[in-house]
Amino acid sequence: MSILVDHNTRVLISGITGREGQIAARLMLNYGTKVVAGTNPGREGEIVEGVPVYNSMKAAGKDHAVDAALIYVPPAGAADSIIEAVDAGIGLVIVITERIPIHEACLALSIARKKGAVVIGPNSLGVISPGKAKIGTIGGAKEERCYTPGPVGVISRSGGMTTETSWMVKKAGFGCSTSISAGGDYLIGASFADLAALFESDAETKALVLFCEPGTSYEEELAEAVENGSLKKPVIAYVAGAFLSQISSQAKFGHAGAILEKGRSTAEIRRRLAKAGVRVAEEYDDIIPLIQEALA
Amino acid sequence: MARILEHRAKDLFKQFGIPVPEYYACASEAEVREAAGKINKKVVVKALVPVGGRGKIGAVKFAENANEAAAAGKELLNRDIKRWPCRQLLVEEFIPATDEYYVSITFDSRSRGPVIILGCQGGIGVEENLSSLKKFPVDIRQGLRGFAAREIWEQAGLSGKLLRPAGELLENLYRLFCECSGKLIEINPLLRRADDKFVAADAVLIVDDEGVKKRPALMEMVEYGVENFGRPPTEREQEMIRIDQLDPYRGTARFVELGEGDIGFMCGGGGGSLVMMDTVTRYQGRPLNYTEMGGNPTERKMLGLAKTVLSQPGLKGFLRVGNISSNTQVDIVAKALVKAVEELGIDPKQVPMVVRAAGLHEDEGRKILEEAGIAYFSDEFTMVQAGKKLLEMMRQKAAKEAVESGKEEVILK
Repeated sequence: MSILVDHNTRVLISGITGREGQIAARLMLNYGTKVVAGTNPGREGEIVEGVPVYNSMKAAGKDHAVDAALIYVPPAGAADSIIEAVDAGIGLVIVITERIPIHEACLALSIARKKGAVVIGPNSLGVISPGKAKIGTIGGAKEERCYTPGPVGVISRSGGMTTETSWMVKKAGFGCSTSISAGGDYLIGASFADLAALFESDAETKALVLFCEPGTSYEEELAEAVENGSLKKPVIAYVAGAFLSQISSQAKFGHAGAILEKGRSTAEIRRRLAKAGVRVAEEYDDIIPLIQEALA
Repeated sequence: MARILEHRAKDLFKQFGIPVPEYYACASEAEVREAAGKINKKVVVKALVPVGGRGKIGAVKFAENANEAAAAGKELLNRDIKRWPCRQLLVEEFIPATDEYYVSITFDSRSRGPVIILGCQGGIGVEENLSSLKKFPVDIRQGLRGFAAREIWEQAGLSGKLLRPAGELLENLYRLFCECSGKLIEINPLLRRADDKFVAADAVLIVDDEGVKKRPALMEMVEYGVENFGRPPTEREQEMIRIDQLDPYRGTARFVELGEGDIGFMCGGGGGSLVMMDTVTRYQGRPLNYTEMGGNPTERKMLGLAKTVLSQPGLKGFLRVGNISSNTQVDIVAKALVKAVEELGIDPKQVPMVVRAAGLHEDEGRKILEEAGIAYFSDEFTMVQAGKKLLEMMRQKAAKEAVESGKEEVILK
């Protein structure tokens, strides 16, 4: 098994006619993902990579059953697209778009949550269940270089580090059930704890690896899930940003989170996770022995 | 993130019905004297710089009359306040208060929405007493209604006839937060006068860069780069901003000078940069700068960044490490780097350079770099191993130099 995406997931791409959307459609189809429809208002009737284009998600929904929407539209229209997907009854929305105004993103995520839809991102690279299917360009055209099937679930705030961390899993001698680029923005749809709950009920997943960045409460929520017993599978985490306590600069580093919640330093997050029983990597390479130890 | 200076924020407060003291922005001692004369009572003179905690470092002064105000103005003008040159002052009416409150609105990752933070003991030092503050999440779909605003104040400890004006103020503040695409809006202190009227003695407003793009009137008020650097950008940083904006839609290249160190740092993207800063500092390496690079930048942008990083004074080593990526064009990175090295006349034998880049066209990239004497690694090294490799090369070089200078001393004797 895996979570969120597999051979059977039927995907709609919002913004399929754009450069990025087209590339994504091609890479996903090549990997075996069922891309059933695309949207762009006014372009209904066109075909992109063999996929029919519709004016709206509702229109696409009349011809196709859709399980997941992939959002590739520019920032100004992205929040609209998320709400459109949720309104069309699509239960999984993966948002690649970066730089969505925070008030709009917040409203869209709130509406999605109310309707029970799972949103990955914004500012995600995508989701991949190696050997099965992927949503987004994640892994490029050489997915197997970093993404091989196996028992480890990967969740990362950073898109690039989703790939690197999955490669570290491979280097440790294992593979991934599903790797998720959860999005680098301050507000994201599905948090570490939300996604960990899905992995917890996935029979194939035996351990989780997290790539964390300071600035939000998402790690704290995960620590609580481990403590209250709802998350039992072993969790390995690397929390980036230890250097921040050693430099005097007041500049912004890493993703969006860092400024709004100054309270939680990397060291504090590491301590919090370790206290809950998470295996915390001191340096990034330590995740390899920690994975081997957890799955021994 | 972009910050709006206090006088501009107070202009917006007025527009949204949030009471503020009488205030004037002044750029000279004479203007300060004139403003204080107009107010004609005790005044507060504040440095108009985009940083918090001004009270604690003497950048907020009180003056009984125009002469005292002018003297305070003279002292503050053109002084550096937390590295920001003070070019303007805010002169405003001093409000005698019976109580001071803390009010802010921001986003909260736990409730995934706006949150109102209130404290009934505001003023200087509230940061040291965070437990006295209470958080109230707002449902963004519902907004902040009058009844909810009054309820929140009541839970924070307010009562009686204060609830109505305090509630109205909070409602207006929330409206401003939404209208101006706010990320943080803060009043500290909010003053309560003896006649039970509220006045916002301070106004902090940080807006969302992306949201502000749709609001031209606001864009003119914004001080850009404040939150990116925490100080005015250096010449090299300004040059890099210019280069980045030459191709605004093709990749990002962010560059921050750290003010010390000896390693030119050109790693990326966001998460990867943090990992490499962690790695370098963990093993006592000292980066000269921080970089984030991503989204497949153009060759021009890459060259600009490489030259910026490599031209820093004190450079003794260079590190370009990124995560394995399906869309990094390693040959383009390699060409840009070799061109920068040639143009600047840097000898990789003298300045150890390590590149770890795994992606498209990496065999070609390897050839270009190795011919130029730059150490290249694909996925035979982890990111951490590549970082440690550079530090090892730098130490070997330093040790060799120490031995050689030792020999010279022996010969001289």
